[in-house]
Amino acid sequence: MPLSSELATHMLNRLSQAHRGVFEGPEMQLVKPLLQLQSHWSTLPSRESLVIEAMQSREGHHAFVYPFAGRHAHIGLASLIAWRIGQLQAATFSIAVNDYGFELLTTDALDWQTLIPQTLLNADHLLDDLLQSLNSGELAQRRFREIARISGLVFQGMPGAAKSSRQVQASSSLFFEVFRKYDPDNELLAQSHREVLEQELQIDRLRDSIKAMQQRQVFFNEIKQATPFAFPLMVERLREKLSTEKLSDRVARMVQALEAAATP
Amino acid sequence: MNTTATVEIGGETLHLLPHKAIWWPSKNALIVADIHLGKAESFRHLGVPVPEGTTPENLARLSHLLHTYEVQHLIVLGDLFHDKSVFTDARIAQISKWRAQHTEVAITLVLGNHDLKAQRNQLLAQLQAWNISIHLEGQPLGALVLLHEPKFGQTQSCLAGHLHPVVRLKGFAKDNVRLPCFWLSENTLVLPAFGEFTGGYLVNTIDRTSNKKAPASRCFIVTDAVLEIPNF
Repeated sequence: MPLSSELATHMLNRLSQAHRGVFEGPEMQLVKPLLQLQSHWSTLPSRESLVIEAMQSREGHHAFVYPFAGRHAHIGLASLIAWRIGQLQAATFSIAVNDYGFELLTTDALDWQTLIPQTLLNADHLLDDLLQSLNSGELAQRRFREIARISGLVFQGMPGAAKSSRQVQASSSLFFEVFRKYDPDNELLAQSHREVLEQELQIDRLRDSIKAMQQRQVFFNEIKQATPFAFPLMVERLREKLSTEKLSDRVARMVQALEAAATP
Repeated sequence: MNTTATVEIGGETLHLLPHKAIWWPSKNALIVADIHLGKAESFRHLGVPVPEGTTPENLARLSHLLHTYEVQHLIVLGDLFHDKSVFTDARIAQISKWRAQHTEVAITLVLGNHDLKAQRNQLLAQLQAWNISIHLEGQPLGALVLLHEPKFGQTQSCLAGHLHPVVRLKGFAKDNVRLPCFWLSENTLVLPAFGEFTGGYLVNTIDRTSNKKAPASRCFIVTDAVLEIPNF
């Protein structure tokens, strides 16, 4: 169940208390060791602070950000800054989100300390940037799957019944590609964009949370290992992807990695 | 950067093109598979609103290739047509017009399962009208046997289509992509589907950590260049 932004505010209040050394109630007592570890290794997020953590692992270069704006807003914020950073230099991002923060993961080292505040705390051209980020990512394509089913483009069969051979088959992702190339003004495509913007990204809430974050002090920490707040994001398996790189460059890099693995 | 790859099979040198086609210089030929002309029309006929434009685009891409490589021979390894829906007056006129632009090119078709979904008499009549000759499946052309459905493990080297092979490639930072590929396995080279509106069949997932090897197979991925996956 996603945290609503209201609940997130209360969470932040609790953390702010913990930041001052107040651990009220049995729950706070239980998480006390973890919160202490968080403030020991990095900084404890609070109402006044925006915590950014950078880490390097075998997998690549990670950045963790904890805005406490709710899951949907985090998807929006993460896509937004991934796209904005991607405009400054071509890159491919793997994105994980949860209720209290998000992670960006790339193969190449980026100057997270400068780039994240610069791209995150800026509410200008928000709608344009978000729309553009939709075209580089997969959110709209995922949303299209549902639309394709409801509109009858793909048919998954009645429960318990085999598909009849009359039903033609193609996957929703194939439809998505074909529509995008041959019928970009298609209503169903427009609907998938609209639904992502309205239901998932919620632009007004995004703008509000960006404004709120502008008031917070930024703490940037290089971390050696995943902190208690970073760990769940790092192991999150449901991830978004956003790329502003040329596909052939991405593939060339992957093939190079394979070559490196193949040579003893 | 070199955007094509070459492969030696049955003593022949084949150039794998990023256009999902093969250039065979010694036979002065281009080889493609699974164009599925008329697939969008077939969907529209059954009430699924797929945009028009994929069939003309397929023909335009073929024309571009024929002009670039100036070959005298185009070989289609099956599924040139998706089904009978391609034989509407408008599409017939379109394909006739396209054929008239390439009269110097001999076209050979190995019949595929989708070609045979059209009415037999109509199919044969149209192929004749368009001067497309039929190559019997399993018959050799030079050193290579031409097939639609791949038959792996033959003693003679084969070229085939039908599978629409794609491969999933996983990289660092949880990056992964799914791409069409040329797949050479057990003496049979399978071409990616040429058609615009075609899906794919995943032949392998390649992860830099768990390098699952298929026996004696090679894989060439297609983006705007053709790259061989090392140690496939």
